[in-house]
Amino acid sequence: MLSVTVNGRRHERTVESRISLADFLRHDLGLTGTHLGCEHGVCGACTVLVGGRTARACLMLAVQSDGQDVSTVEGLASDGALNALQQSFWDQHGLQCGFCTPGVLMTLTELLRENAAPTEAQVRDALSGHLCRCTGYHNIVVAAMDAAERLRGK
Amino acid sequence: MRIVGTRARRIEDPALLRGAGRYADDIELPGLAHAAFVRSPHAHALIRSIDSAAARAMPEVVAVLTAKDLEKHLTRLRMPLGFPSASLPDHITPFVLTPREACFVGEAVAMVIAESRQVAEDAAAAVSVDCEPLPAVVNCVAALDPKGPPVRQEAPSNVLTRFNIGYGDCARAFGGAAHVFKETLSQHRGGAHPIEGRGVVARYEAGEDRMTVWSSTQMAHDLWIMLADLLGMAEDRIRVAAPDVGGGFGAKFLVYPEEIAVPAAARLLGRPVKWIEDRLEHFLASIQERDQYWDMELAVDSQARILGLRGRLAVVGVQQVRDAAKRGKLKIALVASDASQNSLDKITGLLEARRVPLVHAFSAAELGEVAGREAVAVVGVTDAGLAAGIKEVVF
Repeated sequence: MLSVTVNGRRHERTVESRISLADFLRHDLGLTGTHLGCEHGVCGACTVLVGGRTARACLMLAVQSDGQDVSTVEGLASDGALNALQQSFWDQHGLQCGFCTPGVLMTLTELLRENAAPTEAQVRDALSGHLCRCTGYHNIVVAAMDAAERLRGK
Repeated sequence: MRIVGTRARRIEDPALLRGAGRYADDIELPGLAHAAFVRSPHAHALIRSIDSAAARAMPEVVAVLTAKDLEKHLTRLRMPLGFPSASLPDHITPFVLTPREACFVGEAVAMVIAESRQVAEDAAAAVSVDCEPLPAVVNCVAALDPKGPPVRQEAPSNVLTRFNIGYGDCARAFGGAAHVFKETLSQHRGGAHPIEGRGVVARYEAGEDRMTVWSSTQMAHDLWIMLADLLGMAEDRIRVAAPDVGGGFGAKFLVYPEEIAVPAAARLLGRPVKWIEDRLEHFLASIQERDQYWDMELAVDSQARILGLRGRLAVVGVQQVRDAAKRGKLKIALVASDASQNSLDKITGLLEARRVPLVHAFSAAELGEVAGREAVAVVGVTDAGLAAGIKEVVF
């Protein structure tokens, strides 16, 4: 029996031991915002927060999340209202196809929590674990810098 | 209302940013079964037999389908040519599942349908394909060697087509050049690798004879037409939806065998079926940018100004005949009796307008023999004496 808290909600499920955390989130809990791009830890699309730290949900078994707090992209907005990071991505055209975006948002959530005033180089360093084929990264960096400014102004 | 110069926020972004997008793998349907493909591990092999007994016996396996099984449920097993062109023969397209010969690593030989993707993959690994490996050609320059092995046994030649493009007076540019530089260039293959691979979900409702296909595609309309063609269904019974698509970059700008196989399986089994390409499959079975080998020559004057650029390419086919006809030099044209409609559309209107007599007495292969090529759609004759002789024989 797996007991895991996802976006503040506790779930208790029996799950096959070989099922990845990503497949568990997507198919057992219906949280399809976490995407699978490569299934071997390269692309970063499946990035979630486990115990507040970024983790590749494709490289982690669901059973390894037992007793943990997991945050996914679905937990960022509250009552349907985009949070500051999401709003910056919308305003700054930080996404195109949107497939890599959930993982990027989770990594930047971790970065901005730890560093309220990151330099562009620090943002790019954080993004180095993500592949985006559409944007060329420029607008992702612009959106991240914009979000940091927004959050500092709060 | 002023649009240009104003900031336009995209209406699809809020859903994508909340994780509420709907990509192919996000589609859930009651009774959904999952497909995995059995793919050739050989670059070239003949398929002797397929033993799927062990896979079928596994719990939660719904079916194992081969070309033989699907053939009965399709109007034909071969994919239509995606971009019909005068310069491409129409017998070179892939099969929905290949029946006899695998011509690349990753070509789909069979498909397994199961209650979950992981069981489908387990069972696909349990399908035993008895293959006779054949010599493979892995370089397109090597493939031109007539003594080399065939890329595809059923094809008459490794040369698919030859064509000529260009403009200007290259001979004069090179004749008057102070310097001519030669260079051999090669451009390697490249994968498109959208972060979302391909994916197909198909649902057939027998009571309404209605097929719905969700595909991560850049070509929903072409898929719709080809599905109607291959499934033998009226177009108004089929709906194709491209849901949110996680990038394409050209790799989703064609119709793939899996996009036919999955709906065919859904109709055959009476259950919705989903197939989601994984990254390994994308490397093996999605199209790639082609290998290119160029032999180029550059003509420059004494000031190093470029006068001309040419590559040594085979030159034969429709374009030359058009050019000769335009210059009023053609006395008669031999048009292959079995030339594709597309080739004919390109040339016959012009020839008729120029009052060039057309002879349809020979096949493309026969004309090719005369011209020293594999197959030729049209041969133009500019010599008056020869033209008169041909007229005497055929008219």
